[in-house]
Amino acid sequence: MSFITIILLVVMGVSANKSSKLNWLNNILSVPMKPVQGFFTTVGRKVEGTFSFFKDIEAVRKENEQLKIQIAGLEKENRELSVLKIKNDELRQALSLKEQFGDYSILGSNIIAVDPGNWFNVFKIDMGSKEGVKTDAPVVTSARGLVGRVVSSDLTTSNVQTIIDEKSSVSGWIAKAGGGHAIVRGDMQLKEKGLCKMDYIPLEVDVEVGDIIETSGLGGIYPKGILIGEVIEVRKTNSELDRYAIIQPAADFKRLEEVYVLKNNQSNETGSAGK
Amino acid sequence: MKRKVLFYSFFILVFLLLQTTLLHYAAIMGVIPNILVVFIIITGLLRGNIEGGIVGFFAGLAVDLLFGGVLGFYALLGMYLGIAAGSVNRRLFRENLLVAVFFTFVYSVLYEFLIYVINNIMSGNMQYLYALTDVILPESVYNSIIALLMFPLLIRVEGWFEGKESKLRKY
Repeated sequence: MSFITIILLVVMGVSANKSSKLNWLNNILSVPMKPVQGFFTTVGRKVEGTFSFFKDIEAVRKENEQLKIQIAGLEKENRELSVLKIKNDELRQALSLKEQFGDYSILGSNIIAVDPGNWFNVFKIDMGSKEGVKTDAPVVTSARGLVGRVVSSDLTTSNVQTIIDEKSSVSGWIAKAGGGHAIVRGDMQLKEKGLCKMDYIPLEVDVEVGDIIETSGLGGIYPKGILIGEVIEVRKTNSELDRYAIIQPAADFKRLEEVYVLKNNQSNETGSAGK
Repeated sequence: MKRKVLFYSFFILVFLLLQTTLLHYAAIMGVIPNILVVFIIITGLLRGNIEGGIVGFFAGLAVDLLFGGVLGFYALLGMYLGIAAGSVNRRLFRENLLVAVFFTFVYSVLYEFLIYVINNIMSGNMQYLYALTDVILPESVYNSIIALLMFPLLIRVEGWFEGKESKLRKY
C-alpha cells in the first residue's frame, strides 16, 4: 500500500506538468469514451426536451404570432442599422482598430460530459488537440459571452473550466467611463446559481448595478473585450476596500450545450499539438 | 477471477458514464450523488480491503484519466477509500443493509471533506461550514439513498462470485 502511494505521488508530480508525456495516458479512456458519453448526454437532453415539448406547445403558438409581428418591426430596424454599420466600419478602419477576434478562428463543439463531483465546474467537449484545441484557449457561447478556458486537451476531447469554477479567475474590465480592472472569480456559494464574484475593485471606480464587465486582456489567456457579464449586486462590507460585486455571466451555465473555442491562429504553426 | 475483473471493469465504466452524463439531471439543490464512491465503499464492505482498494484504485484512475488535473489524485483517494471501507469488514455484520448505508454516509463525508480540504488548502478562501452543510452532507445523504438501491444488486453479484469461486480466499 505504501509502495503504491509513493508511486502515485510521483506520478502526480510528473503529470502536474501539462507538457509531460504521461498525460497522454488520458487518451486511453477519453478517446473510446467520447462517442458513448456523447450518446448518453444527447439521450438525456432528448428526454428532457420531449417533456418540455408537450408543455410548451401552446405557449409556442402564441409566442409565434407575437414574434411574427416583432420580426416585421425588427426587419425595418435592421435595414436602418445596416446603414449605420457600414458607417461604423468605415470609421473603425479610419481609426485602424483591429477586428475584435481577428487573430482567432472559431471552432464549434458540443458538451459531452460533466465533472463527476460537486466541487468543480469543468466539462468535456468533443474537440481535442486533433482539431487544434490547446490548453488555455478561450471558450465562448454563440452570443460571444465568456464561458471559460480549456484546461487540458486530449486527442479528441478537451476539458473546459468555466468562469464560475472556484479555481477560475479572470481579469475583468469595468466597461464604462472611468472604469477599471477587477478580478472575476468563481465562488462556491454563487456557482450553484450560475453567478460569479468580482473583487479587487479599484477604490476610485464607482461600480453600479447594470455595469457591463468585459475581459481586460491582461494575463494573456483571454483576448480583450469578450463579454463576461453584468453586475447585479454590489456588496459593501465595513471597509471600502472589501467591497465586491456579484456578476451575472452572459453565458447561462445551466443551459449550455454548444460552445465555441477560440483558436489562436498565430501560435498555431509553432504549437506541438499531437506530439 | 477473469469473470470478477470483467464485472468490476463493467461496473466502473457504467457508473462513470452515468456519473458524468445522465446523473446531472438528477441534481437536487445543485448537488449530485457520487455513485462511484458508493460503489467503492460497498465493494470494500462486502469484499474486504484488498478488493476494495483495487476497485477504488481503478475507479479513481478512470476519473483521473477523464477529468483529473493530475494523474493519480483520485486513484490514491479511491484506493484509501476502498481500503478504509474494507477494514470495517470483520468487526461488523457486513451483509446488513443498514450497516452499508451507515458506512456509506460516514465515508462519503470523510472522502468529500478530504477532497475539499486538499483542493482548497492553499487558496486562503476556505468555507468549511458552507462546504459541509450545503455540499458534503446533502451529497452524503444522497449517496446513502443510492447505497440503499445498489447494495442489494451488489449482494447478488457477490453471491454469484462466491458460488463460482473456490473457497480459497487469500487474505
